[in-house]
Amino acid sequence: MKGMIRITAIVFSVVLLACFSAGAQEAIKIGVIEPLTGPAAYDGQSVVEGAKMAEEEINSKGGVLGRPIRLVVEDGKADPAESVNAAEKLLTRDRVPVIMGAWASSATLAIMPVMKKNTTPLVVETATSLKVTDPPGEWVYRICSNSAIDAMLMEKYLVPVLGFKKVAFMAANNDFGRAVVTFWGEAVKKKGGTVVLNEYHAPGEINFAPSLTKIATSGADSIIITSDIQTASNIIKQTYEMGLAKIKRMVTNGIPSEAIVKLAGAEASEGVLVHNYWVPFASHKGQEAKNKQFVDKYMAKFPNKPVDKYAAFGYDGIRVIAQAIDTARAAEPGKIKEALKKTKMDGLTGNIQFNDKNQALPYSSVSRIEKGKPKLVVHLN
Amino acid sequence: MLAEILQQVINGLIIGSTYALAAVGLTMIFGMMHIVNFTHGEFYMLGGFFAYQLAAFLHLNYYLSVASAVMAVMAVGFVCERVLLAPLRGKSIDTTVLVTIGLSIFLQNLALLWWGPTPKSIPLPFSNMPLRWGPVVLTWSRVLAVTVTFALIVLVHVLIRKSLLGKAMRATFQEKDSARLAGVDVERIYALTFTMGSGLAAAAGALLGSIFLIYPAMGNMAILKAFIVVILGGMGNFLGAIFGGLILGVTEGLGAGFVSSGYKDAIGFVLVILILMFKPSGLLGKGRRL
Repeated sequence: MKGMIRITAIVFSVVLLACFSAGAQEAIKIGVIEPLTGPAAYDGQSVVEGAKMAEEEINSKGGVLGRPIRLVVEDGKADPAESVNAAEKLLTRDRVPVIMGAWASSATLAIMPVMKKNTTPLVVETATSLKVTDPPGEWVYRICSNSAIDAMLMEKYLVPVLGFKKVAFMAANNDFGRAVVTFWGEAVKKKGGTVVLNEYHAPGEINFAPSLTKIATSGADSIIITSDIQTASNIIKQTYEMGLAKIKRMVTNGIPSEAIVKLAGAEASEGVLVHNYWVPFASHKGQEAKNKQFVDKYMAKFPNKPVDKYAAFGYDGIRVIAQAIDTARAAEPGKIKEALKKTKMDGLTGNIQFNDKNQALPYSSVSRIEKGKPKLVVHLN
Repeated sequence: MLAEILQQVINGLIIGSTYALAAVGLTMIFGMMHIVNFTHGEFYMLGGFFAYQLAAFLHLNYYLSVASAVMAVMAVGFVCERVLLAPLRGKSIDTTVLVTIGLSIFLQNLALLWWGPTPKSIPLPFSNMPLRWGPVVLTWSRVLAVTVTFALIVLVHVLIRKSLLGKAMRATFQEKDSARLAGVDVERIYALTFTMGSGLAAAAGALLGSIFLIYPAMGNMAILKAFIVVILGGMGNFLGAIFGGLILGVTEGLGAGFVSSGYKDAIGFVLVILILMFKPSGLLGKGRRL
């Protein structure tokens, strides 16, 4: 009798073990580095939300290579040192075969050497400094735009059409802000405009009265603002409070208009121009149905947050990665990298294909905030 | 050019007065109780968040929200003092530093969990339309901040200098045991001072939060500036805290306007270093005077 019980127990355990190891297919981990805290937390959260939507969607259709994907999200705080820590954690502790991140240009540039050393591919979802793809790195693939492309597309509108003749730049004092000032400044000068002032601020700065006072007496007829959502909205709010609302104001790099209106107020945001990437209210040709589907799903999942380009890039980034893993037939860094090169995806943010610098060309447009709502001015490509 | 300087100076004075408000609270705690209170920044932050919660969610009148937020933070300060700091009376300063740092981390992360990292805007009952006052542009929230700050500082000054309670406070911090012999309830004075200091920080947080945005980490810069101002003005020196705050505010404004805005904070700190090099006990510091 005792022997029978013992044998039954052993058989039972073996069966259980077999069940668990067969049923629980090991998930494919995808590393994600975004700012979850700090001044860029709003933006980072949006990216993660979009990424999570992609994760859910992909897993509901059976995952990749028969396995579910699992996002491993680390807080890079949009800070170079923290993002490097996050990358090291993901690569050594979690052994992810691919990472999407790290939101900020400075942070992304900081983790690129780490990715190279660990021969693991990086999909860049929002960083726009040209240096990310110039010189091109074999392990770095950018789905979002860069400041050189943006400036080139904006060139025929900034001075001739929008009348930004005497420009004051207010930019974050990092690779992102400086890239915009460099390239957009050239675009202004090429068409006969002048750059009157370059005012840099530390990311997280809240008091812009000194800079705005300088701009008010400088004779500038336009202000171009480059920063994270929170800081940019704060600047818009203060331009209004300092009586500068009559000067033309433009916010770069797809800061969502809804967030600006929410944080700065409709009064203060009246007339603000926004340089956009993906926007929910102005689909490029043929994209309407797909965008509506995404927006509806997002709003159902995250009812208190307006959907923005960060979510769209997060979503597209994960889908590009999943497609690459599928093409590679393996969750292996080297093979994923090769597969990424051949990416062809009709994404939300654009027709995603990488050129010889591993750079894609996303949609962009310009809109204006009127009575608290964004209105399309022109599609740039 | 003159208009620009005037505007920078006025903005500097407005921001500086809020630095002064936070610093006065800190100088009371730091200078009088000799407690290095790292939680001061979090009381500042909670002042902003409580005001936001009351005004945005309970739709309470704005002025009432700010006043209630200050009182709520004073209650929090009272509890902290009684539960965490009173048992450590007489222990080394390192212990209180550790405790207040721990408390600050706790409160900041609690706020992060509760309200999330996205910055929020305190709903105001008035518009923030620019008001022109000659060559200078202001907003009502800035005027309000300066007025309330001024009123609070005067109130506290009158309390400390002219009231019996103020006398008891000064006695306690000058010579605790003699004060006890004279009949002062020393424990009550400690609790009261800490509570008042927290209340002032909360007021600064609610007022500045109404001008800018509120977010859980907002206390970090605030406490750094408050400590600098306290040291600049002389520890425990009330008037020093006020002057220090105003000087820091104006220097930052002029520095950003005429030197470089990227280095705005650095310029303010460099000034402080220079002043301390020539006057190590602070601008008005001569030991412990109120």
